[in-house]
Amino acid sequence: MITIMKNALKERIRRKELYIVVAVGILLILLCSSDSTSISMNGEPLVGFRNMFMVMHVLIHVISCLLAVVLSLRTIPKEYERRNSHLVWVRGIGQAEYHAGLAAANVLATAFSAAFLYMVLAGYAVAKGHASYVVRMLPAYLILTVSVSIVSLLVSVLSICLPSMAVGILAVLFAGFGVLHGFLEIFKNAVGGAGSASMSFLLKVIPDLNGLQKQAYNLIIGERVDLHLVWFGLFALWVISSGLFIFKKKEA
Amino acid sequence: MKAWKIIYAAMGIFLAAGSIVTGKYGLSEKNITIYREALALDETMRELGFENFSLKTVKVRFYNGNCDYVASVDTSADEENHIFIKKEKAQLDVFAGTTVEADGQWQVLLPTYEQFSGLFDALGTLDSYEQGMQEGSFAFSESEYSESSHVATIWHEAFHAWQAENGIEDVEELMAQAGVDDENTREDIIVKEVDSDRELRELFTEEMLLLTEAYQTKQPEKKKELVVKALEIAEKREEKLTSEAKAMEYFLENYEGSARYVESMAYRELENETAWKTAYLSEFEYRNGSEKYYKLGMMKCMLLDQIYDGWQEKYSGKTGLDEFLKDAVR
Repeated sequence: MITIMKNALKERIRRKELYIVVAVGILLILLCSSDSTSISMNGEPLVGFRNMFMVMHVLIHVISCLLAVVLSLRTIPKEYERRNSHLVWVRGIGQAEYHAGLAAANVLATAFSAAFLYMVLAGYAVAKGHASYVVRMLPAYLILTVSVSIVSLLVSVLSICLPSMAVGILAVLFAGFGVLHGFLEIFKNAVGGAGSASMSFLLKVIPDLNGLQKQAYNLIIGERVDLHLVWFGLFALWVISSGLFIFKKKEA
Repeated sequence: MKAWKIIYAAMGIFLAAGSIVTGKYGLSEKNITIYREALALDETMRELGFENFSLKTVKVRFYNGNCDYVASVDTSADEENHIFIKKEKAQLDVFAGTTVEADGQWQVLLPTYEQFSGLFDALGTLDSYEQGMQEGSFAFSESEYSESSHVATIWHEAFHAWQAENGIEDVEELMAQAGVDDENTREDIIVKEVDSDRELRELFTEEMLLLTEAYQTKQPEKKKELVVKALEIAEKREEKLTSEAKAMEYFLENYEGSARYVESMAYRELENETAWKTAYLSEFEYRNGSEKYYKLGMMKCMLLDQIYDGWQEKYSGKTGLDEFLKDAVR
């Protein structure tokens, strides 16, 4: 499985999407960090290191989720298209192990990209005289990784049994609901009726990715971390990972 | 392979257990504390003088986004303020600080403190917060909102529950008399028929400034003189209003304004004078929407406290705050 993962990871590193999204992410972060940039919320300009840091943290999370979708969407289907799968079967490796290796490569590639973006954020914190944040950013990164891994793993699992287009749409919806979980919780209560009931269902099923992002941020700034969200995120990862053993490709 | 499966299953059980153990169940301690703080003000709020007005007789429903936690107090128990918390199906599956009729009584309904904080975050981003401030839904800005604000909000809504229990707040009847059928058009009435009229805007501002000055002055004669002037302006305004706008203004000023007054009195008990003044007596600035009437009504109530002893005992939907002020300066 390690060999499969290594090869898949090398393949990910060769892909240009990774670099494009990371580069765009870094550019956005640098733009945010510029003193001349003005971001306003509710008509009020966001000023001060803490506000900007929060915005950048949210941005990194969103970009990482997007990367998770982009990097994981075609990994498994491509392996089958190229008939690489046959080389694996002849070695007596099972589907579950094969898919797990590929999915792990997806998760690692996404996590590495997020780490890269996090390093830029750490640089910003140091430049602004908040070097103490850097130490706390290490465990915070692990929390953020849980969130992006959920997206990556779900896309990997879905790509085993669904066409890429459907997976892409579902993944974007899933990531969107997860990233906007807090807002949608409020929104569904403002909507009421049947719309509220269906949104309630989706919000129960889809993990609170934004909550995980917020816990990572809380850890960095020294505020209380809600461990339940982290535990639940890990449990969600476990549930999604079970799909690697449940779903099988017909071709095999 | 079998051992691997056992490890995988054990990991799932371990993570599920961790999720369950770290989960929060029931009403959070913060909301219970807020409810206790609100109850602790009961004696002080009774002293305001509204007949039988007490939080102990009103149930408070904390809505957490999924269900209501109904808080009530057993006044007959040996232990003072023995609190009951009961989980119930949500009465209104929407975020609102309001009153609802349930189990044959009017109850306070408001989001949990945690949900309210989330609401601020969301509304701030969705740009709806400004609208909420204009409509009077929020008296506090996000940075000012605190546990004390939540306590004050409970008292605001408890006063509405008291109004409803006593047949004072009959907004439906008032609106029907004025021919306003659609609930959604009420805010529009103020914006279209009052805010769009320059003269009405100027007169409102003048009335508000006179009342503020009257409240602040320590000279009784000057106070009366300013109140008389303000009342004259109020009458002048009234002549220019349509029947719908008049009914809407009456409702907002007398029912919402008095509730804002009760709310501010609760807040004043909890916070220092500076914080209270910042939250409720900031410099008046005319803004479109209903919020200004909350302030106007509150200012009139506070003035009545200075010049009309025991006005609260006579408070009813039938006699407006202006009538009390006229009696006081006559």
